[in-house]
Amino acid sequence: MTRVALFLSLRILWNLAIKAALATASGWALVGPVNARANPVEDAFPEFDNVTYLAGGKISTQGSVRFRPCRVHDPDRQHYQSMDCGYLIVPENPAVPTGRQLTLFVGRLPAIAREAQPDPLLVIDGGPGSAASETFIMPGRGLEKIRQNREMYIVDQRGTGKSGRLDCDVDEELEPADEVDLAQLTRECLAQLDTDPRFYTTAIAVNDLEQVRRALALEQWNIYGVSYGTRVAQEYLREFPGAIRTMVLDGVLPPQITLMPRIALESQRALEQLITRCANNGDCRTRFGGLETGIASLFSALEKRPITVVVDPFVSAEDGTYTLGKDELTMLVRLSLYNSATLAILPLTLHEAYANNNFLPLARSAKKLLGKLENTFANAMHNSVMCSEDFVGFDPASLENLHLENTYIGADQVRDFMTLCELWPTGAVGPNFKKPVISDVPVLLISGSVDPITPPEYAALAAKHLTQNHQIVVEGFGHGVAAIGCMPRLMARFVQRASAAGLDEQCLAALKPDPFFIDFNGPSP
Amino acid sequence: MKQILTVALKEIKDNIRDRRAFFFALIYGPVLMPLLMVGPILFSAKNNVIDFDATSDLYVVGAEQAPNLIQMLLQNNLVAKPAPPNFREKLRSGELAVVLEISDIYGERLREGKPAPLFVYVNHSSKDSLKAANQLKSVLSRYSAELGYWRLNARGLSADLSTPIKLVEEDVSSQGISGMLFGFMVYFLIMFTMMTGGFYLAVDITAGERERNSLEPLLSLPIARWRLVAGKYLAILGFVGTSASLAVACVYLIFTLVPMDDLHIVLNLSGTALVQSYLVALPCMFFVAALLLATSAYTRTPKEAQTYISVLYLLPMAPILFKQLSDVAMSGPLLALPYLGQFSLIDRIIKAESFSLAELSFSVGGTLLCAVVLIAVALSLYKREQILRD
Repeated sequence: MTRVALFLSLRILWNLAIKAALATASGWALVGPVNARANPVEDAFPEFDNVTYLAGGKISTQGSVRFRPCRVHDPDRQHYQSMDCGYLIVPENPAVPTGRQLTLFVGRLPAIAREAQPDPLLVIDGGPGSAASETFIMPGRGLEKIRQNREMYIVDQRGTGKSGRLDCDVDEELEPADEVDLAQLTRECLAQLDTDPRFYTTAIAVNDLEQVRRALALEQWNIYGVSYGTRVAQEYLREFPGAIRTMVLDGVLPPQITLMPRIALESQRALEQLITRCANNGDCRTRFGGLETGIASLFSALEKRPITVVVDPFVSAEDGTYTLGKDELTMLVRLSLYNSATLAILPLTLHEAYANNNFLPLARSAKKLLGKLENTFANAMHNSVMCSEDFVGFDPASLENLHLENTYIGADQVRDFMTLCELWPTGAVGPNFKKPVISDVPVLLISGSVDPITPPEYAALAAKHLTQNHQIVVEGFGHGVAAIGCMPRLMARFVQRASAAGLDEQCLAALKPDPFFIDFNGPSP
Repeated sequence: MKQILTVALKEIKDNIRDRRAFFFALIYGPVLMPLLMVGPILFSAKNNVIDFDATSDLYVVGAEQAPNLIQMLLQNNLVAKPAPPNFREKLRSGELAVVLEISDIYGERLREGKPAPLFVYVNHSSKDSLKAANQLKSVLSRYSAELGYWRLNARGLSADLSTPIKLVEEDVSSQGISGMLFGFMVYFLIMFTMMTGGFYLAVDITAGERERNSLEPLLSLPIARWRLVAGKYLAILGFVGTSASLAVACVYLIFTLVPMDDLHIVLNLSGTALVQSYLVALPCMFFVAALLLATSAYTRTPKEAQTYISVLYLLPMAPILFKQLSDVAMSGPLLALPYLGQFSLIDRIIKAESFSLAELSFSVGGTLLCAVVLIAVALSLYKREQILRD
């Protein structure tokens, strides 16, 4: 296990695959750097990473928050979005208001229509560790219709993106790390941080969001939360019920669920669903017969002997050799299951490897994917959330009963995390944190039927004590379904009317996941 | 009061007896005008904008050769139907809008990784056909780009390589779809029907009566002049009000019957908005009725009255011209001007914008004040003996 793979295996990469799919819809090239820099003497707006203040932009205020026109891009410079950039300074430790301060990034996108409704939309991203300001600037997230007559606020949760990103550097070039002590790595990571990881938990983040709302002088807002963001949204609803008009939860994680130990189980289920779907599909069955045994043999072969292939560097001039082992394969399979488009390619690339001994596409994809992940998640913030919240009340002895060893991911991931969390300083969790949220705020819960991490049953569990809940399951799709088919329209209706009454979900029936690639040229016609 | 009512009822009865007057007051303005104005606009809006959310039929030749392509089209709301054998003629005659032909080599070329041809039959002389073809072409070219992207991805390659330039479109407009047109329409319909509603009665009531020599016996009755004028005013007001109310009801029905869901998100076309518009326009009824009364009292013959009042029909257009020619923001005391105030406020209601109580007071107060002045003018005209002379 390389050090890189070790750290990556510690991450729960919930919505990466959504991003991969969105890149298709939005185009994928680069534009030259933009030079209009703000004059720091002129005003006191903070310098944020990946933010360019626009020259001559007028400063506006909402409540007590000042905004300046700016352009925001993601670290890869794949997407650009003009918006208004603002900020709010909060104490790192809410109990010590005079202590270390943290600057929260607050972005505002205007409504498309001329006059906006008084209650805007707040988006909460997943991860944990993913930055809303980096992922919600991608087009095609399915929120444009809500934005017709609502402003959209993008607040980077503390520890992510531009809000004091909590991240450890991981050296990719280290030697295989089987002998490296995970505890030692964790200590090194903690030593890098000049902040207190205990304060980067969901409960404190929720408090931040409420501070932002008050600073903006907004009476209420509507919330869209995806993946881990649904946990944040539900906790927000629990703590500040009056602040929220409506809520859309996409890929729902109920507070009762202790996620970490269940990841391997749910992902295994999604893989089995894929194998079944392939067996029931003429094209896939003829091309990739024996998929199940093939995949199993591939995993065991790579576990015994990782394969080193020469990967053409193409874009960069970096070294071309890459070693593909079981961990890399696990990560690739796991993330490919999130999304219908990557799912469509998976049987092909796996089959190429186990049947034709062609490991190149697999190795290239894994290298590309893992490289991308490095940029995407703030790993230390992720650890703070997972250690503080996902092992609460978890009995290590119960690990045996989960039979994780029967899954392709296995039990090591959980064991590694338990080792890490023994060292990681954890924040306090309230007595109700693991209890279901009781509320009569209108909540729309949307899920994909083959979601590899938050299955529709989770949504049903979360909905139990929400008196005004409505659930939608999109058949055949994975994690994050807001942008699929007519879902944007349904969500916009729901938010507009603050009710799910009369939603016409028939339009979802015609949707089918992308057809399987039967060779490298794509699906059958 | 009884005398006033008697006069008013008499005038109303007279006006209703006149079929032509009745038609113009209560059918032409309130019912036909909305249909004539709103209908074509909605129709053309629907005609020119491609609604990618709406499901439509697509006639396809060789659909059985590409089930996955057909499913993709279905997902984009294009439902494949087999094209008739004589589809070329049907395209020419306008029976069909567009036809997609999946060539026999499409599948084979796709499998070989070579560009696979699809044929789109379109009739360039037909707007419907061009629109349908544009929708189909945009769906297919997006599919082509996505397939290309995932072909590279399947090989583990980066699609960035094939896209050297990323164009980022910046929309600098401060407003999206403007409610301008619809705000104007609702305003204009209400004002116009007010004018039409009272038109015939107003012409008849003074100039007409004078011509028929029935004014003199009326004036010689033992009834105060002001009571007479008040009665006539009430009669005109009744028609002005009924006409405007009918128009609002009619517009509401049209908007309810035409499904324009996405537009509703941007424009406030609900029943509430119409009722608000109606209430904002209400003071203008008093003004219009007074204007008509004064004008007809001033003119000598029905013909002259008709000419004058026809010119007055242009008045509701004034705020639009004013808005186009001046840079003045329509707010504050300016709203006290009749028509201008109503126009500005209705425009804002339709665009779901707000206005202050002060602004509303300016509009209501100013308009009512003008109405009072005009009634006083009419009364003074009636008090002169000249009113009887030709």
